Amino acid sequence: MSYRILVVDDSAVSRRMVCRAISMSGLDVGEILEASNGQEALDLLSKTWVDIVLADINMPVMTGAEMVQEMAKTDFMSVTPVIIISSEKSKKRMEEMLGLGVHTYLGKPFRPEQIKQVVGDILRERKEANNG
Amino acid sequence: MASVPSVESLSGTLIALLVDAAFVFAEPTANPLPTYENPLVARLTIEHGETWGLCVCVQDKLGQMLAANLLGTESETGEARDAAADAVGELANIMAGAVAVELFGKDVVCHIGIPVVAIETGRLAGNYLTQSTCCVNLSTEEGYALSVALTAQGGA
Repeated sequence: MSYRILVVDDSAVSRRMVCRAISMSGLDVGEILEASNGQEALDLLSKTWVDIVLADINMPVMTGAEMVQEMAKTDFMSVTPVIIISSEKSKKRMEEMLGLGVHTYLGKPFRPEQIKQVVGDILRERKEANNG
Repeated sequence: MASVPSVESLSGTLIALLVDAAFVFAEPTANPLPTYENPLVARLTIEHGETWGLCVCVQDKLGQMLAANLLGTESETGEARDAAADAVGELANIMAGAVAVELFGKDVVCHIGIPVVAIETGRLAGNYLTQSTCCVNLSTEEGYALSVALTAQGGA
């Protein structure tokens, strides 16, 4: 079974970098979807099952933090793990996002191995849960 | 008010970030960005009670090189040319994260604005740099110029 991942960032270059890191990771990812802000991501999530969301915080229209809060209000979205990838390095911001239910907080610039590690761990948990 | 980082400290932070984020090796230079060219300029704000403006000016060719490095392609491709402005915006965003920590420390939440990127005249870019509170001029190993200016814009 291959998994579906959603990458949310207003920067197309940043989305491409994350997509590239996932594609090169060798993980069992079937499809990578893209959205350029939190609202676009919610629209996609309401129509399509996604296994993991990787999102920036600072985006126009709807921020990553607002998106996470909206996801928490919907049963089927609230179980989707969210990885935040942000240039903000404040400890307090990190704690705030983890407090909202974010699975992992990665700082920019990230290394492709970090994406592989975090996404791989989540997918393994998913696989074990499905098999068990 | 946040204390203004020294040019040396800001240079060190930005040089390390350029390597980590975009595989670009640079060193400080006394020469500012040439005013005869129209550089790519990314501007954004960093706020925490007070507002600071961050302005990143790069030579057009360096913008393409940044895009190529980030996307894993060649500098001379159309893909790199098309993504140059976005790449400079992303670099400014990453730099803002580090500069925010230099200004306010790690224990506060700052608001980092969304970068606005444009091709500006060399003269206008020069004005941004000369009117700033702290300005760093860097030269890459390929000889491209990059200048980063931090400007206090007022506070609460």
